[in-house]
Amino acid sequence: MNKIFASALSFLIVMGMIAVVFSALIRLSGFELITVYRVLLAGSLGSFGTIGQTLIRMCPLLLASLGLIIAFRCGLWNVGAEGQLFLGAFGATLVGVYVSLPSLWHILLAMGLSFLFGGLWGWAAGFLKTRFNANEVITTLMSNFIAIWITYYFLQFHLKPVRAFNPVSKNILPTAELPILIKGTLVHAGIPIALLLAVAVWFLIHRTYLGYTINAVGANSAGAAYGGIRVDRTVLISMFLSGGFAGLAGMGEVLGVHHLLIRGVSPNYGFIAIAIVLIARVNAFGAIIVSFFFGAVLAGGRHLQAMVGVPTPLVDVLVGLFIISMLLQPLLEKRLAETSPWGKRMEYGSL
Amino acid sequence: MDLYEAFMNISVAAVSSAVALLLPALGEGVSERAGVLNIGTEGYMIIGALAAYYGYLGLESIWIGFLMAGVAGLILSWVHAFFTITLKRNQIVSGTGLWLFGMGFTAYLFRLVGITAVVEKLKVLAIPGFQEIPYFGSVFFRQNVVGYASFLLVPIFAIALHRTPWGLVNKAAGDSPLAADMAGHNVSMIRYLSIGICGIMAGLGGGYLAIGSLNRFSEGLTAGRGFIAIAIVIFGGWDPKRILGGALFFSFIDSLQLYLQAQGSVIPYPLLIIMPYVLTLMVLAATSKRAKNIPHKLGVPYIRGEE
Repeated sequence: MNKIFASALSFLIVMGMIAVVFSALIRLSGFELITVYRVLLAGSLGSFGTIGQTLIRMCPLLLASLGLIIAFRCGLWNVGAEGQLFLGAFGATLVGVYVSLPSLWHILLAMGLSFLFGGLWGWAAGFLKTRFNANEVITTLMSNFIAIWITYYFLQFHLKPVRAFNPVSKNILPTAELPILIKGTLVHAGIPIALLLAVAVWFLIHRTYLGYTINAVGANSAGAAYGGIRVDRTVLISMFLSGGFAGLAGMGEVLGVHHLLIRGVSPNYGFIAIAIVLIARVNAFGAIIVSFFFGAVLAGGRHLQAMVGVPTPLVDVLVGLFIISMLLQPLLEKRLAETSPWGKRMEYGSL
Repeated sequence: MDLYEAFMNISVAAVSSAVALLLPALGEGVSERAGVLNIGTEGYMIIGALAAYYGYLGLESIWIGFLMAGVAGLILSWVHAFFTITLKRNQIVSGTGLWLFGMGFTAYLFRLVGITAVVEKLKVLAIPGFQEIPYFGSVFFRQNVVGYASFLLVPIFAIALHRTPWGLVNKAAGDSPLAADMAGHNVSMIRYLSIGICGIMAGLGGGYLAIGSLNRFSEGLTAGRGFIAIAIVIFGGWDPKRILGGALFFSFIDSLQLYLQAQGSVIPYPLLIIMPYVLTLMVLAATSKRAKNIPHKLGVPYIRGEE
């Protein structure tokens, strides 16, 4: 009971600090606090339809986060989810536009190819690490740029209809579209799929042998090797799965939201997912809640510029503030838990 | 002859654009030697670029612009230092947060202020005598004063890191902070100083980009240079001389890419743009196995009594 209290209180304190800094920034820029917060809230949770706006942003955030959970648990700092997402979106578009199949099979094939594209991209960074000892932070970071530009290359020079001016692909066939679940909203079938996959990832990490090896390699790779775990193999599998989930995030955007490939298919979803995973303590269930929250922030931010003239990059500022400030939360929680007569709690790894 | 001319043109462009990579890479090298990775270098750069631009516009002195660039980078880097050293939090997460914050904050401020005036560029400074050196002279001695100063920093950094007590202590903080601590040095202070140097240098690099070479600011102006700087540090084996080589090499590839684009090359431009990034990966793959110089405790917070 007390541990939960310390945890909740520490989150509240950090959120309060972020709110103070954020509000100060808004005031200093000469905007009305109430108007900005009202727009943020109305755009994210104001009505049935806007909750849908939040959910469709939560979907890619959650899927990318699930992938990152697998990599982070394995001790791999995959910061390449953004690029893996783009390649996944590209794979889904290929199947969606150029293959005709009955609906269910069409969607499944698109999911498969996007998982494969994102997964192979992640695997490649894993390969550079296991074979050449290249630091995965740098390789995955670089691979983002490469993946985004490769996707753009195919979009501009191959997928775009010849006479079209804007770099957008053709619409995917209706059979590949993820069905809308609630009429009048944007809630598509990708959202329950993402939630199911969150359960699957939790199960994988906490209840399977593969999950055990992933955790073991992440906790102490030398010890894991000594215990007979094939470390390189585990690293490669983790990176493949990690990239695959990010690829699925791109799939959801193409098949569920845009129904075609656009250049700006992701507003930094892959980077925001890093923050989500950290805040959720590398836990799949936690990631559901946190990605809903960030989905709401992004959904709320979409009308800021149009409605109150606040420049949209304010959303990036808020996300950056969250990532940095949330680093304080485990410290606060520990301090709070220690001040109580009831037990201390363990901290997860080096996070 | 045509090929020679093209090569010369690309080289001239490469040397002057290398400055914006060299400055942050030198700083990041110092910080990494002390054991701290700055993923947020890109963020320090862009905030430096905006500070330089507004400093120059507002106070009408290019030097105040550069000063503000350094200060802005320093402030942001010390936020990183506070979280990773004082609070011993994860360096990658803090760096990612600062990068996003920097990109968002500069774009937000830039749109809010809404000034897009072009500032006056620094003049190219010809050094009599040197320019007449065949090949070399016409490529290297076409810089503005900040460009020359940046290249001069390479030997200064090399001497400071390899030949002074501070350089040794700085290296100890990254290789064996316990030993540094037991020898009576304050590991936190050493690391704060190194991160600060990284912040100042990255800020200046961004400032150079804005008011030293492009004479304006635009959103996302740094275009990933902060990340390439990190790659250059690894490529250069944490040694200023080789970092200079890396910076020149990367900017040569980048200038070649721009040249091919301008010439209407048969290779589509998105595939040209990724050349430097692909190269980074190849270089990393080729050099990482024998990266003996890597600071042993890179990315690891030092906690007394836990080693």
